[in-house]
Amino acid sequence: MRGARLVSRRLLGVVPVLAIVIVGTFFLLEASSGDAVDAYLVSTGGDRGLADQLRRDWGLDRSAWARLALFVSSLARFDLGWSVAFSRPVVEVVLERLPNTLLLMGTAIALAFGAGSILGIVAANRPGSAVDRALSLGSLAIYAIPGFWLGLVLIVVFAVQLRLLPSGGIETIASGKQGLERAGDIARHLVLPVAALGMVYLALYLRMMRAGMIETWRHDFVRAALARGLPRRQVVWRHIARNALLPLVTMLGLQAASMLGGSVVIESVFAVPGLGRLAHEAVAQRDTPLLLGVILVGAVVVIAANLAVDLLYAWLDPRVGAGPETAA
Amino acid sequence: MTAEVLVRLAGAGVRYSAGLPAAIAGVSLSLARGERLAVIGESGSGKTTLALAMAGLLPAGSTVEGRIEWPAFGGAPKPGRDVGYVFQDPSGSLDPVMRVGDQLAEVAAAHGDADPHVNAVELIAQVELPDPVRTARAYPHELSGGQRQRIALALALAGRPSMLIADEATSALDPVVQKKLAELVVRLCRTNGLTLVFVTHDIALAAGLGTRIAVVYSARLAETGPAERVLSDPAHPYTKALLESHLGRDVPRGARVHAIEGQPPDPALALPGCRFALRCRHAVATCNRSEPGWAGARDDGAACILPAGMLR
Amino acid sequence: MSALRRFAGSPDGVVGAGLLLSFAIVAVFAPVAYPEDPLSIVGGPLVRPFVDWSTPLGTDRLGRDLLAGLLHGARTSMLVGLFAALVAILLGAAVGVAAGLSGGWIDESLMRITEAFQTVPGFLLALAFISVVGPSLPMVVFAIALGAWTGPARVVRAEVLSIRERDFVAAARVIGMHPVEIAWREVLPHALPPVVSLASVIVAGAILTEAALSFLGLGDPNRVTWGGLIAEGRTVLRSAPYLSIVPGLALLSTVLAVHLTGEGIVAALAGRRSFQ
Repeated sequence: MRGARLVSRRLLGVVPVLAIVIVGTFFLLEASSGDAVDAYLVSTGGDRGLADQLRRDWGLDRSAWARLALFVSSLARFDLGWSVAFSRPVVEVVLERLPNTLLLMGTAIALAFGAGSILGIVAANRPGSAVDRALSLGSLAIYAIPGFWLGLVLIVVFAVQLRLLPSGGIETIASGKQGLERAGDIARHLVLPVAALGMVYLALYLRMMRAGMIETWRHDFVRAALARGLPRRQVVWRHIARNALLPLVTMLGLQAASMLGGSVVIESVFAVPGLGRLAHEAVAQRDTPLLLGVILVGAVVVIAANLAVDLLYAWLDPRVGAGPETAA
Repeated sequence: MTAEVLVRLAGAGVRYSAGLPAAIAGVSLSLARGERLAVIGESGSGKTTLALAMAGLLPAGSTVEGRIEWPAFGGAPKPGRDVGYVFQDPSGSLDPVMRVGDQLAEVAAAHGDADPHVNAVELIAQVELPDPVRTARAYPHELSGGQRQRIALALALAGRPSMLIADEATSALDPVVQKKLAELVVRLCRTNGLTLVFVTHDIALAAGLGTRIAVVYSARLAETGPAERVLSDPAHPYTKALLESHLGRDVPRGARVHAIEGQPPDPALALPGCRFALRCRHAVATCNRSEPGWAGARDDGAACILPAGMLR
Repeated sequence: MSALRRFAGSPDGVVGAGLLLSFAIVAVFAPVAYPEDPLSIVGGPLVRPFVDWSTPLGTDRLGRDLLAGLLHGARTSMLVGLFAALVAILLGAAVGVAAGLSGGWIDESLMRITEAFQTVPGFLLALAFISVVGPSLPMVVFAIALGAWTGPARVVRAEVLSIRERDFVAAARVIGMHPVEIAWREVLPHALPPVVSLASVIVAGAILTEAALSFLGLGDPNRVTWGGLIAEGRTVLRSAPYLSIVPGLALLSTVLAVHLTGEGIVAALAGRRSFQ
């Protein structure tokens, strides 16, 4: 009930935001050299006459407003335009790449969130102790590592020197593996890119969780729980950690956007055929419609992630959307 | 009195850290099983520190001076198991993101309850909240302040302690709710044979529920004794002033204690004499020179040099 | 004065500021130490580090001096980091003040735009922007700022909302001060301190974004950048990994120094705030 109300309210707020993104994308598309007809003719071939014919047919000879309307109406039909680089509709290429990126990002965020918050709890257990100082300093250093460079270092160490893991790709090409065997193969390929993409977030969550735990320790209910005779360990994990986790969950939504940006370089380093690498390919091949398709789909992914985070938060915190004071 | 002694304090005091002056010092009194002691004092007088020290809940780094003995438990009391503690702020003492029934069951289970969830509902019924099964499924924010404090009371009782310490447990509530809750606490103590320490700044409330009264002033025990005697024949001028300014009169809440002229001295101030001397109508020269000794029996006397009966 | 003393009292801040200062000196004096174009060929290809002392950190596969590239790269990294953060904070502050002071539909639409910018991954936006306008240093700065102004905007707006009801703003309104003047003289000075503690995060982010853009070949092609050096080394990653690893270490220590300095600034500001 509460969840449904929350989602419907959020969806309403999404509409103007998405509209702004679409208009912004349209203007970027307009600002770039060449149009959809040029793009189409590059892959199919044709003369000026055909080009003018197509421009009339597609409505590209009309005013900017009419072209915007055209752009929006084709978006409504899930038509993101034509990709020169792939000689295929943009939407096909993008959707083909999307699952790999979602897998990479999902795994990275889950591991970073899990490990980061647990290490944050450990660090906050005794603030100022040797363990705490090591974890805090280590996380600050990790927080400063450029992800793509970490990826290269991981390749040098684990793929080149130790020969433990593959240096790139999402799975062994033409291995003919099926089912569990294939899943294992993909997992092996994911280890290094996930580490390179997620490490920064692990450090971030560690620092936030540590601060949150120390903050929550000061709350009265912690003292009260200990006074009732609950074991310290139980108070730490079941009460303090749970409350300290809430602000971290709200951060997850914001991080979806930054992680999607990070996946561009990581996927390029590890040759993972995902959305991020597609964006790089689009730039390298001057394929603006493809790049903007990636941006639009990326924005939708970020919006969906934020919705999921809102629902998760509502589930974790019963106070959300319960009273009139939070309804605004 | 032949009842078993539950707790005995001998010159007990607390320092929160080595450099600070004692937050409470030189308290000697004993409490027998089934007694109800009301501890009265202004804010900052050290009454809460005394309660925390008895419950063994002082923050790390603080030191206890003198002795606090628990003959009935054969050692320090176990929090929740031997002593239940109710804090002042009803909204702060509950985990905001856990159902109150789960919080009750958790505490009951921690004290070896085999059927904690059934017990949680029983505890809610015991503190006289309506519809216990439904209430058990509520989150703290869905309850009123008075209901939350009843849950906090149930939580303090969940470990089946033999002693309950209520630290200003009703102060944050409005007068009607406050009175009902105080009555419930007394009723629960009577039916379960619990020993009660009720900390308050409100002498009217203390008069209604204590069998014994202890008056704390500026980090010292001013007077203690059976409720009847203290109320009818106070032996310390401070107690008398408190009674005169409040008992039986409709003084607005909050103004009650401050009706005595002047302010208590800064606890950090090292005074050679009686700490109440500056505000005392009966003070003589000696009062400012040396701290008064204890007059009367340990559990029925006052820290004042005035001869007994002088204040009558 | 006392804020400075508090900063000096934070070991993180002192170490960070010291590191940062030495990097800045290196960046400023790079053309003095290596007046020649760092892109020129000075020796044999793939000379290992610590072998030939005319090229102490070795050479890349074309025989270009890695140390010269490193020193000149420091200029680009710090320049872009600082200016992108500056542009982002100014842009964000302007939007935040405008939204917070005007309220109503202006506030509403500015916040929707902010949200839209937060929805599009900043790095993708920078990619798109550069691929449309072409890579040059000012455009790289602007592209990075484009994805970084939303944070300061939200912080400044929140701060302005709490400030605008205070007495001194009301007084300025009563004596008939122009709204823009109120914003500039009365509101902005009070709204900026919380942004200052955000600044280190923005500078660090900008340096990393610039490096990532150069790594993908979207930096200014006429300048040596650390990201470009790492990309260059990547082609010989298996045989000469130091070519990628060394510039990465420079990048890492610069960003770490910025973060440490930021911790010091936060410590200094926290003290100031608690005294108010």
